[in-house]
Amino acid sequence: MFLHQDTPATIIHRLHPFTKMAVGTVFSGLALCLYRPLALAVLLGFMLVVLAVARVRLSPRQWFSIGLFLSVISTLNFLASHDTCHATAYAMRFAVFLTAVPILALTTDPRQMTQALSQTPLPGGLAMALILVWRFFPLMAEEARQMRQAALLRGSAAGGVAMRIYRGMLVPLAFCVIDYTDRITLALELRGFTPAQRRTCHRPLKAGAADVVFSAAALLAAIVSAWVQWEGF
Amino acid sequence: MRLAYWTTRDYVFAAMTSVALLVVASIVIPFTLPLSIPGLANAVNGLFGSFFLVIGLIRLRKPGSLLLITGIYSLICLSVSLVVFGFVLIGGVFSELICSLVFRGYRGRLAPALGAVLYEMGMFPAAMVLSFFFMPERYKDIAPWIFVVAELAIFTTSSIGALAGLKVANELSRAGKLALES
Repeated sequence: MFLHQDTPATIIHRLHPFTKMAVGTVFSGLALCLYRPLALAVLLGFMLVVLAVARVRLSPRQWFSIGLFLSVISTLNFLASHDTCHATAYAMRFAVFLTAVPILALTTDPRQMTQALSQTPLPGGLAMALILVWRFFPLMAEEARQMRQAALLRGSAAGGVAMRIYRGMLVPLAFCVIDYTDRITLALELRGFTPAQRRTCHRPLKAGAADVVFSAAALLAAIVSAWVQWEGF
Repeated sequence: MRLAYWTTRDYVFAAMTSVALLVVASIVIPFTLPLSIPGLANAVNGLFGSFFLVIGLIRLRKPGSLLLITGIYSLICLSVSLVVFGFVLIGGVFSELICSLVFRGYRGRLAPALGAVLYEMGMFPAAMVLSFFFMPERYKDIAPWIFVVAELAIFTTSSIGALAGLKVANELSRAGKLALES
């Protein structure tokens, strides 16, 4: 049920999950403040380097889908603002959002995340819920995409688009939520999980030299993008 | 052994409801935000968000259920933006307070539907206040009547979503997937 990753463990995979989360959060937050395309390109460039180092390879179809999505976003924005620079910056900001958090989520093993969250003062059940959202979001998003495609293939129902969204996506997604809940609950209870007890950890995760280097590189990219935005050309 | 207020199934259901909220938000919000119409993203997302919230609340029922779902959702949104985290949590706390005081939980049909609608309506003013705090130049020239119209639109769409959620909860109950109170 969990996502199977064929990619080998790279230095990005071995980083502390909180280091990656912090970088993703800072980049997403900074992207909201930047409005020059070049400044956003610095952040996006850094994330693409991370993508390459983590050996996450996208298929041509995935690249095409991302390109198409960003084109639609920038076209809509251009129609609303009549400003090319604003539309480009908007699409690039979305590209930073699309890369920052999901790349880091894809390169984080659930066991690492569990170990990291078990060291925080969060209640055990809440920490487990966050791990579930972190891991099952890509899976359910893919299922929602397949549901939409299936609904499109079936054609318009009697009620038109509204009924197609309702019958073709919302109802199956609701059943999907219930189905996942049943299966995950059973799996957790069979493994002895209970929210009343705190998890223990045999080998607690610690930040190492690689985390310091990665954070410093990310900080440098953030400073460069901020300089391009407010001081640069 | 001490018993927890929430069972494993409750936490998993809340997490999966948050995933569904996140999935629909990731589909609809990118297409509404570029149009820069205040409240449009909330109105469109409210239709789908309230649908899943109603199903989640009908299943969980206990006081604090809405806060549990929106708390998990907001913590995930924290990785996207502090502003999003803020308004999702404020919307959740606001509607949870009202529903806990008035209904003392989410039993029946009215409390889940009202909780979902109040959450969607509570998020918009919080989003505007937080956005104004962070980006005042972008929001200072918006006329007050626009907020009233936006809130009415959010109320309408989230009510439709909540009613659809109640209808699907009945279907899930008939399929033996969800236990409803008689």
